[in-house]
Amino acid sequence: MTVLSRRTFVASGAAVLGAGLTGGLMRRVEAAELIKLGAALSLTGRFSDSAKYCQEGYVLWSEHVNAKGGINGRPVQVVLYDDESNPDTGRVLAERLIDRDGVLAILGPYSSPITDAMATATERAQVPMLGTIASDSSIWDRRKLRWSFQAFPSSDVDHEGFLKILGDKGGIKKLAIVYEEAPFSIAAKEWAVRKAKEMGLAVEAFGYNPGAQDFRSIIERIVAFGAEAVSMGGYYQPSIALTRQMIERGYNPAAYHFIQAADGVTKDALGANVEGIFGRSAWESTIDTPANKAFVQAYQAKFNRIPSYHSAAAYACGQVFDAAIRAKGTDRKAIRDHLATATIPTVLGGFHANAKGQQEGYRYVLIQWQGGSAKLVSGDSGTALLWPKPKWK
Amino acid sequence: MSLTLACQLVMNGLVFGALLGLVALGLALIFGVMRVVNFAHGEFITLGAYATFLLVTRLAVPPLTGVPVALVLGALAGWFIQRTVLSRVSGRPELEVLMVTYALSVVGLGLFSQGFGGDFRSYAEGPTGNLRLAGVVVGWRSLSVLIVCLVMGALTLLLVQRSRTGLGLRAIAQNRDASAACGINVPRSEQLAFSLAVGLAAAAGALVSLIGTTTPTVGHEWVLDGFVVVVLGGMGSITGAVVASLALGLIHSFASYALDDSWARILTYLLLYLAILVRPHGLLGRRAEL
Repeated sequence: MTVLSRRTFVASGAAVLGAGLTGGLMRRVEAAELIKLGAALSLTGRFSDSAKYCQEGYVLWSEHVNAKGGINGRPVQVVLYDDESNPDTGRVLAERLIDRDGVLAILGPYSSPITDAMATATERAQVPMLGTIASDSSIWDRRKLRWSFQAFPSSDVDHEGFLKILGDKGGIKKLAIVYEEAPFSIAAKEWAVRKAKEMGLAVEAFGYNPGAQDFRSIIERIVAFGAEAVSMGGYYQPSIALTRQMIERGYNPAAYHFIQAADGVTKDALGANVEGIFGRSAWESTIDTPANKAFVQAYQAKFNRIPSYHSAAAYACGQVFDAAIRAKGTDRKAIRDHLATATIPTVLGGFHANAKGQQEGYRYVLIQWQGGSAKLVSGDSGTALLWPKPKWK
Repeated sequence: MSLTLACQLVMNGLVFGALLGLVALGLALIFGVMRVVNFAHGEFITLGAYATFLLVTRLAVPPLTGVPVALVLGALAGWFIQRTVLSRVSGRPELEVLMVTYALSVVGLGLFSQGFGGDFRSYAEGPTGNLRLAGVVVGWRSLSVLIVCLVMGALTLLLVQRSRTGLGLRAIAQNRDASAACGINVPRSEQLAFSLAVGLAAAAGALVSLIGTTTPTVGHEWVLDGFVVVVLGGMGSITGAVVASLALGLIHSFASYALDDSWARILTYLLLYLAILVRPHGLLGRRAEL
């Protein structure tokens, strides 16, 4: 049974009221017809901790756009439902948003599986949707999606930042890639193996089953291979298990990267051993661009803390639709065509989709744990590297 | 393969197998005494993992303190659930009871998700460093897990095989009606078995939190392998569960090294299939055994 446990309107009316607009502008905005955008987010259930940050991103964006007079003079309303962290519920809610609420387009849910499920409904109804937190590019490989676009850096390039560092620093000859037997991780592994070979590295890939807890044999194989650098491309839980078992084994690669390491919990899990570990991140608050600084400042003013990448990705999705609707009006087909071809600047970078709808414009940044905090080490605003990784304590 | 590497793989397999054994002991105990396939077993592992996480992060106690605390907490939870839920469906068709435990699992998962959200919980506290012996390296954290599992497993075996209480449990496993006719308090024995089994699961959860991370679904990842062990060892056979878990740990360790992780998994389930074909009552099981 699907239960719509919460319905929250993040209405532009409320945003406008709180935005401190002049009376004249407010009257003009209220008089104009609303542009309704829909969203289903995991406000309850297993994704709720992270999905609430997406909600904040959508709220902030709708407030900002309405404070500036809406899009083409029309205020924006975001109709938001709770998908309860359930893909099936997400699909039903997408149908509800389209059929009952009549939304123009859909801001993406949290997670790839829910995006995948909702895409079924949006493709059928021919409504544009952005995959806000959908890193799994295989969604767009498995079937042809014309109306859904990835709006998050692709998981295919999960290892890209780390490989670039290995190339820049030199000295590393053997690289081990650990990957989960899951489509996103396999695709990332294939990309990384190809790239590493181009760089002249000896590379070997080690797969594990989803849900694996024991990596000790894989570590023995990595030790036997003589890898000097390790890059783990799986989920967080196995990444921590692998790291802990590497520590216990006393295996100290000169460089170690796991894609989920940017998460703040990594420090809680690994303590002092977190020092020197690399991770990739969709976005960092310290990225030094004027648009990013303005976003961080506005977010802090409203929510009194530094935004997470979830909020930035959600805000960026709003910016993408903002640009598309400004350029093409409220014709869904025209919006879709614009999303398929345009490059749109956002706080996450330049949104640009390839022919399949996968994201090509956004790229992950690389962080490294230094002095107990995750520091941005890629790009112009990156800090100096800690190299090689300190030995496990 | 060198002798050192073989010893290393044996040690690795024992650590994994011992923890799996602790999970499977509870499943075997419940099935042996109550003829119940407990789908909610994973939730009790999760309970122990969260309890330990809270103890370590809120009260700053050493993680291994979580083992006895989780054992007691799990036993209390098991006693309560057996008394309020399972005892009411005792004697009903197996499928109905199985659905009740499935419902318990869903409720438990929902409660953990509501209470803790979906994020990972972890802590860095606990034994650090490693022990090196003739080239074999084992971390103190893993060694602690191994020792705790062996001690708890041995105590459980002693209780079941050597005590008067255990005799009652084994009698019920063989013939429930005859046991009752002989004066064994069957409902009370079932309550004891379920409490002990859930306590063991929660204690395993405490150890899982020590070596991994805690999420609402952390127990599910262990319980499926636990079921495999119970079938391999002989449905309801405690000794069989111990032997099968250690064997599975070693097979996993060697196959994962020599082939890869996927093949280790495939071999495990091939073995399960063969066991069902050739020895449907498991390695050490008989028709009704504890």
